[in-house]
Amino acid sequence: MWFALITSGKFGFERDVVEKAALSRLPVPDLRRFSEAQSAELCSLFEDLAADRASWSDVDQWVAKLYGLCSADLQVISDTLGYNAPFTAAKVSAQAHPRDLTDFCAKLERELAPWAKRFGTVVTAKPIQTRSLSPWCGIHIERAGSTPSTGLPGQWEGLLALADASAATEMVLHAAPEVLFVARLAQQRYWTATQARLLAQHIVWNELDFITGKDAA
Amino acid sequence: MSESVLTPRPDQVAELTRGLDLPLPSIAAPIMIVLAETLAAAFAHVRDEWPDTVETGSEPEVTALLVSRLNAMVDEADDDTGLWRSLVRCVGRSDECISFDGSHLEKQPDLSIWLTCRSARFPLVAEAKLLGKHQDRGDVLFAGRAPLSHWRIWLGRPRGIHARLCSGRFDDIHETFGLFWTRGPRRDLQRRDGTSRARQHNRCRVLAAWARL
Repeated sequence: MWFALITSGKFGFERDVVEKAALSRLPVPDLRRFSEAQSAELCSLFEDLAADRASWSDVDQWVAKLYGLCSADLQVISDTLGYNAPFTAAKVSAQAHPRDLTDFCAKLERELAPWAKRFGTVVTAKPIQTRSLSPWCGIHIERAGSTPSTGLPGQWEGLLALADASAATEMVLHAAPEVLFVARLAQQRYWTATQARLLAQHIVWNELDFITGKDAA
Repeated sequence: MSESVLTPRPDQVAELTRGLDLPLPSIAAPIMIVLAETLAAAFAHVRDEWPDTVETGSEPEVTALLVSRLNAMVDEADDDTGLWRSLVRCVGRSDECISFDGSHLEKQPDLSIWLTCRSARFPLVAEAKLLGKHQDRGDVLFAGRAPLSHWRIWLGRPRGIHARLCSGRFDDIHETFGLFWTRGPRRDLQRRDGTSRARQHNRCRVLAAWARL
């Protein structure tokens, strides 16, 4: 599915069926050229799957290893097929209210951790509590050493008002020298693990002083 | 491009820069240092793993090893490569690019580093230069003031079109670092801070002894 989505000139654009030509281009490995170890591993995986001792996730991992895909690649594929495939189910999932931002925050912290470690700081991320019917979700990214500020809730409300007025899908605000607010539309497609990695890259490239602490000087 | 007399080609430049806000934002010094350190670590790894190739190999051989190693670091999911992974999409051997005014094709420096924040049209480039063995232009440029038989890598903006388009002048190359290390017993690595003026006058200032390899 992923291969067709990426390489087909029609699937995902013009229609939601996979053409025979796209299937023919699939780089399926020749099982006859597998080494003995690979064949044994494949047979073992098949037997485990048939006996419910292995899951399809294990199969995905094996295929990823075969094609040289890393865990980040698998995550991109999973998120893309989950929220960007041209099927109704994927569109509904993409626009659903985010289930939980805790995983998103944890992923963001993991991605920023090497940078924080390098500059001798600690960066944490937490979800911001919003109204259940709010079209926005937000997270609060904080560098260690910040002092609690009483004006943050007001800034958050102001940020949302500005976001509504500007028809934005994302807003980033320095609420304080050690605090960054990130607001995005409350749709699951904006709060995936892949999006967390992209947000971490955005922060590294564009908000490096926030991590290093130089902006507080 | 097919004309015998080279003339500026606005069409080439326009396509190259389509949709981009110029000048491109400069890369923060801490990020450049991370990139330079990773290059140094990758080279150290290659040298430890394949000492014979580094000792006797040609520039293309060693830079090919370096490119493979740097790309493997993009794929690795361990903590040591976390900084590199968040900055770099992939690394490749450099190809041809158009000159600063689009009038002709010219060779890029050895390594192209595609960054996660930048257009693929403007990768960061690094020039790896083997000095002291082959009588190429690099020897003429550097051998007079450098120990023989060592590697030098310049990491910075592409020369020519990129520098001119992005900064409007050639002396704004604060993104450039020079790394060098010897192939022989002397194994110190130093970071050099160069401005083009300093380089032109052969006055690169050694900032600090940077790492022991």
